[in-house]
Amino acid sequence: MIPLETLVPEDEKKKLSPDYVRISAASAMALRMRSGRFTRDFEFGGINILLNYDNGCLADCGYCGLARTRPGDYEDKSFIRVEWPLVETDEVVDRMAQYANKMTRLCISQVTHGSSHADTIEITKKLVAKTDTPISILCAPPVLNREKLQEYKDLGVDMIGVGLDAVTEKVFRQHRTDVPNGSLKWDNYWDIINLSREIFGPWKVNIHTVVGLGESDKDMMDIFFHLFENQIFPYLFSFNPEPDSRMGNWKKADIKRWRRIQLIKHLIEKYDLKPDALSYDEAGNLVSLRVTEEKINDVINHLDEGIPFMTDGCPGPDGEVGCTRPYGSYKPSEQYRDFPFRPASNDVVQIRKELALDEILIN
Amino acid sequence: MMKIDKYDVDTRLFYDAREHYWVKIEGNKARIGMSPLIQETSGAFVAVQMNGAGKTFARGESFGSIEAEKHVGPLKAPLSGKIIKINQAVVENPRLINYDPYNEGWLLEMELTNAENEVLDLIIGEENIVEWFKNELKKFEDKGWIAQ
Repeated sequence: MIPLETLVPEDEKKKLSPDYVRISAASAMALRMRSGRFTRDFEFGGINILLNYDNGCLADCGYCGLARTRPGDYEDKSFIRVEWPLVETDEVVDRMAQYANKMTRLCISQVTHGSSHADTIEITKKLVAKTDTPISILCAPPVLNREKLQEYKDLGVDMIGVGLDAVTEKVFRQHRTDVPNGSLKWDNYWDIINLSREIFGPWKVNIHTVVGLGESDKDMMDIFFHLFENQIFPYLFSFNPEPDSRMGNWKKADIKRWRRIQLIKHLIEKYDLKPDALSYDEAGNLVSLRVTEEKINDVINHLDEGIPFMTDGCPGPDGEVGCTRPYGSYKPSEQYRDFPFRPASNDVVQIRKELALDEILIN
Repeated sequence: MMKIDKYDVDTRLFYDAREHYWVKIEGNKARIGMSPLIQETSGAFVAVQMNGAGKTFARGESFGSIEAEKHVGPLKAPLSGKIIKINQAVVENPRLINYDPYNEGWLLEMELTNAENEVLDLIIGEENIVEWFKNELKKFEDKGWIAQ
C-alpha cells in the first residue's frame, strides 16, 4: 500500500513561515504578484503580511476568520473577508525593493503561535537588509515579553500594534477568553501594551479597537481618552462579519454610529475634545456632542477635508497614513467605512448625511 | 483561439472595446461574456448580479453589477435588446468567469433589437482584435493591474 503522504503533490506540502508568508490581496496587487485593481484608482503601498503555520493560530476569537473552531482547513480560510495568497518571503522582500518608491509601510501580523517571535525576527532581518520601508509589527501578546519587544526595536521596527480589538474586559472575555479554545487574557494584552509604550516611546504604539463587538459608545470614547492620554494611538476598525465564524451572523455597527465614532475620535486627537463634551444615556449610547462655535467650525472644516473618515493606520515615510487597507472591513459594493484615500466631495456629502450631526450637536 | 501574450483570445467573436465583453452573435440573438483580459485585471470575482430575463436594455445601460475582491462595477449592455437567459451557474459561482471566460463563464443571452446598427461599433476580425487586445494589454500593464 502506498503511504498517503507520498500521494501529496510536492507543491501542496506545507509552506510555513519564515520561508513563506500570507499576503493581503491588496498587497499582492501592489507588488504585482497578483492581477487586480481597485474600484477607484489610488496609490497604494501599505503591505500587510501574515505569518503562516500548518496548525494555524492557536487563539479562537469569535469574530476572526482564522479562529481555530471556524470550519475549514486553516490554509483555505479567509482573513478579513478575502483570501491571503501564500507566497515566498524572499519574493516579497525582493519585490518591495523593486517597487521601493511605491512602498509606504510594511506590517508583519503575528498569530498566536510558538514560532511567531523567532520567525518575525528572521523576516524583519531580511526586510531591513533590502528595504527602507518603515516596519510595523502587529503583535501577538501571548508569545511576547519585554526582551522580545526590545529585539524588534533594536532591529529597526518603528511601530508596534496590538490587536486588542475588544475595548472592555467584558467584551474581550466574551469573544476572546470565554470561548471554546480561548486562551487570551485581557491583562496580558495590557501588559504588552504598556511594555510596548515604554520601549517604543510616545506615538509609536497603536491599539486596534473594533466597533461593533458589543461595546457601548461610552466604552469606545473612554478607551480613546485613556490611550491618547498615554500617547498611544487607537486605530479604528469596523467589525465585519466573517462568514462561518461564530459571529458570522452578527450585524456590523450601523453607519451613523460608525461615522460619529470616527469624527469624535478625530476631535479628541486633534482638538483635545474633553470627556465632558460628550453625554450618554444609561446604556452608554452617545446622545450629545457639546462644542463651542469655534469647534463647530473645526468640525465642519474637517468634515470637508474628509480626514477623520480615512483609514487609521501606521504612517508612511511622509507622515501620511501608510497602511490604508482598502476594503479591509467592507465589501467593494458597500459604502467605504474608512477611505484609503482622501474622500471626494460627493463622498463628504454622503458622510454628512450619515453623521446626522444635528441630532447630537449642541453648544 | 489565438495566443496573445499569455491569453487565449477567441478572434472569431465580436468585442465591445469599452466594456471588454465578447459577443457571439447568431441571428438576432447574442451570448455575452467578459474578455480574458478584464477577468484577470478585475481579480477574483465574488458576486454577480444581473437583472432578470425578459427585461430590455439600451446599449450602454446597466443591467447589473459585478464585484471582485477589491473592485465593483456596473455591467453595461454592449448591444440593445432583451435579456432572454442568465447564466445561473455564474451567479452562483462567479469565479467561473475567471476560470473559463469563454465557455462556462458566459454571462447572459440577449435578443437584439438594433444589431444591424450597433454591431458596427464592435471590433471584429482577427487583425483588429489582436491590435486592440495588445493595446489594451499595454494600457493595463502600465496601470499596474497585471501581475508580473
